[in-house]
Amino acid sequence: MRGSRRTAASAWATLSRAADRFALPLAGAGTLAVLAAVFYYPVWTVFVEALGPENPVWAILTSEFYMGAAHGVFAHPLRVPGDVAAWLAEVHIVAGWTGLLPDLFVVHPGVRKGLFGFTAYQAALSTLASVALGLPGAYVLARFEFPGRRTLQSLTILPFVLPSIMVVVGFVATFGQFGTLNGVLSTLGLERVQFLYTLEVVVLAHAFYNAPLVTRMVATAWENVDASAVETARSLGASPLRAFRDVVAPQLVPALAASALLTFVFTFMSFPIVLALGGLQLATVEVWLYARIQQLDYATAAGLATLETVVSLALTYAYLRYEGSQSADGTANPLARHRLFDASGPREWLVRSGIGVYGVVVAAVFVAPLASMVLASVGGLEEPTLRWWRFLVDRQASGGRTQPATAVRYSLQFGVAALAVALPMGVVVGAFSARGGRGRKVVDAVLMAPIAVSGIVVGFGLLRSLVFGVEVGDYRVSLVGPVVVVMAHAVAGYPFVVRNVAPMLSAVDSRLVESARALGASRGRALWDVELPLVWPGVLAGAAFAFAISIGEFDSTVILAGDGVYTMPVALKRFLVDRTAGPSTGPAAAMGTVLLAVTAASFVVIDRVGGRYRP
Amino acid sequence: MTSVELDGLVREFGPTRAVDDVSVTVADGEFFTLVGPSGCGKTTTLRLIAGFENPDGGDVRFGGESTTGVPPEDRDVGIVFQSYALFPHMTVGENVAYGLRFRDPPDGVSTAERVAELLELVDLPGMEDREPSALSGGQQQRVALARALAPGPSVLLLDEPMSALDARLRERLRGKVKEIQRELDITTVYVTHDQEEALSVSDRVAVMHDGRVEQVGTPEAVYREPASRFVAEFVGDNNVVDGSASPLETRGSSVAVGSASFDVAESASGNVAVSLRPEALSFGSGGNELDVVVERAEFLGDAYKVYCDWHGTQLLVKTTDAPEPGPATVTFPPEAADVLPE
Repeated sequence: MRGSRRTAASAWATLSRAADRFALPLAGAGTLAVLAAVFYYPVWTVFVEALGPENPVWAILTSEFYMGAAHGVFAHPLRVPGDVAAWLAEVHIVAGWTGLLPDLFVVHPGVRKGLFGFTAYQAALSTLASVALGLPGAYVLARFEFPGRRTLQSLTILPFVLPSIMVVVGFVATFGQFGTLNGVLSTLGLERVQFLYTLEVVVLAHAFYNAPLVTRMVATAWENVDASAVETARSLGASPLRAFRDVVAPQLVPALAASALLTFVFTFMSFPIVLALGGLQLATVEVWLYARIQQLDYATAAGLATLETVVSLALTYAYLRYEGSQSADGTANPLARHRLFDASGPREWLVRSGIGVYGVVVAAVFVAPLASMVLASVGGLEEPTLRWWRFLVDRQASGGRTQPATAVRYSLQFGVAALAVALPMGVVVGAFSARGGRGRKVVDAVLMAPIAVSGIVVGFGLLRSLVFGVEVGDYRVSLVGPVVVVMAHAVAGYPFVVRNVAPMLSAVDSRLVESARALGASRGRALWDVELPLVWPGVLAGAAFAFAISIGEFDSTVILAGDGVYTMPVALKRFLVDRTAGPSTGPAAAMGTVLLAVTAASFVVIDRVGGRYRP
Repeated sequence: MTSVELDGLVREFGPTRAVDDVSVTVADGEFFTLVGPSGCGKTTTLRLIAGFENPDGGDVRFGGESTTGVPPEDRDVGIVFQSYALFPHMTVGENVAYGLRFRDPPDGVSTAERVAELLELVDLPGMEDREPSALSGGQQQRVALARALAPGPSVLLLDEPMSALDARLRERLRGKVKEIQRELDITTVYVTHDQEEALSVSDRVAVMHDGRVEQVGTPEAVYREPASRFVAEFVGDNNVVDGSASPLETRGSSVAVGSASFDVAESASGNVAVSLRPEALSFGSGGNELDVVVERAEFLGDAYKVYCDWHGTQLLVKTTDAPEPGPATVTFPPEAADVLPE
């Protein structure tokens, strides 16, 4: 309607204007196409196979091996009431210990947990351990001031970028036969302990991963408690403890519950930690699924993948519903922090010595594995050696099956390529998520689903569809490994871009965008000219996340990587299993140290430019 | 330049109708104001004109042409927000020039010349290289105005542009806005909750309430002949007295309020609401005489606001000299009382 005044509109101007107008819709359509091709379609093929003629889902549901005692519900539902009554008549519950962990023993008759039951059981134990380890941290970070507090607080996002297979190497280097722990024990003249391949070490490794999550989420909630609300309660006659119970605790419980739920989801789907630290005797659904794929038993694998995805999607949905019901408003008036190194009176000293003990535990759990790994890469303190690093170089020269430099090269290439795909996807989705109108929640869920489906399931679906080939009309389309790996990495990484960019975008005054649009900018142009320059720290942090996720991705990569195409985490696993270099974690530790250096660099970028990731 | 027609405009947010059947025509070159309390739908109406919202019913027409499906960037409007909304990562000059990336400057001048011209117009010459954050609120608001006007839009939309400024600055700036509007002869839709501001700058005013337009008219008409109780109470300080009217033999009617009564010039009967402007009331005798009790007086500088109690009804009187608290007589001619419709 201003055409009459636009006299000098050249063809070029028209063209660039059209590009302006369609850039955002095109990017959105591209994002949906990528998601459909490398996420929804592959996962769909898995579901179809699972519900196909062989009906593996039903076979699993009625199998005592998979479902434990619960299989009766599906196998012979009419007998269930009688069975339960008979069982209840004889039930005795005895509390006891499984190794170091509390357990409940149903004395007679025994109840089989089955694979799913065991997976849920270990996830529950891992969640308990993560809460136990993480909750005191939230208290310390939220209520005390000390040098390095901010650094510690930002370190709580580190687990998100640490490759889990690398953490496995750290745990092996710490708790293995010749690890740091046994080194210390034998120096003290004590007997060596076998800690690997136990439930305890799996739970501990899960706590390493998820306790910081609990700490972070609860500490944030604690910092959002309005000090004047507590002061009001106190002035109305509440004791400090009562004020905590009535005012502070109700604000912490939702965050605690949300973090516990999220930890449960993560540990339910956990793969490399259980695979490498537990082995098949402690197999969870995810590990068993992987083993089925290795055995080419695709029908059972599809059944397992479907059931696991149903569980994880349901839990994630519960989490998102719960998260959505929480108000995330900060307070301008947080509770004042106590000075940690300034105590008077026996009570304060007691609290601080408790924090001291906690600090030692934290150092043992978090620092020891990483330090042990770096140490193991140079042969430990007693006999320092560079032979493991030299081994990496020699291995490269000798042209073995798994070459270190090739793994590094592929990792970096995949990382950059995945970043190039994930960044525009994340920004487009972030813009939509921050400003979308009606139907936003549904679209949000569709776009964020990849975060709730395990990498093994996605990898399996990709293997069975795009890698093996898909019939499109008369043609058979099949994508080669590297392309699929990059796409899988991009889909795994882009939700982190969204999570970093969307909160910052929604903090940008919408009037800025509206001003730009009234002045003639298309929606895409306004995003480019006005919003992105204002949220670049979020974009950069999201990019670092996406890169780090790609570098560390193991689950789908290990399925999709062929003999010739492998990344650092895959090479790491091969070195861990491959004992041709002697009974030592040395080569894996050296490789892990390289991986640590790369991911630590990503973390520094995230931290310096203000990563906003809130799970 | 162009006229803006709102035809049966409806906008719903869930179960609430933010804009409920609004039909108004803003003439070419007119300074038109939407005024009402917060939540009355005036800003939503403006956003419908700008294209940031899509109507659930009705249409917005520019110069007779429907805007259905026309995105904001193609509507050729300039908009100024209360929050200024200057792009913080651009200089003043870049802000003003932003719209010229998409539209050629009018009169064939260069972008730089156009920017200088606009900054001159808003009394900020030579400020091109300043950062927006280095300017005062009033200066930022003038930059926002220059930015909106730079591409030569056919409609100017102002969304509470003065509300973030202090009273004195607000008065100066609204004079400036009015002057520029006259000079450019640009169709302007102004949104404000401040009825005084609305009366002082507008050619015509629409008073909005609960998503509906209560009255459209010149500031004088809206002030002197309010079309509803809401308008009477919202526009200016006012006394609205409920009573029961009965026609008098000669002309006019008598309005009984409790045991007391007064005469009005209009003929009416039954239950009525009567608007008595405070400045039409005075202390003394003659005409209608109401025996009141003076409760307190507020000094305004040029006048006093005197709060009186008239048999349980509060009456506000605006006079140049304040009586002592206690019994007094308020007087007004029957012509000063306005019986509200319905």
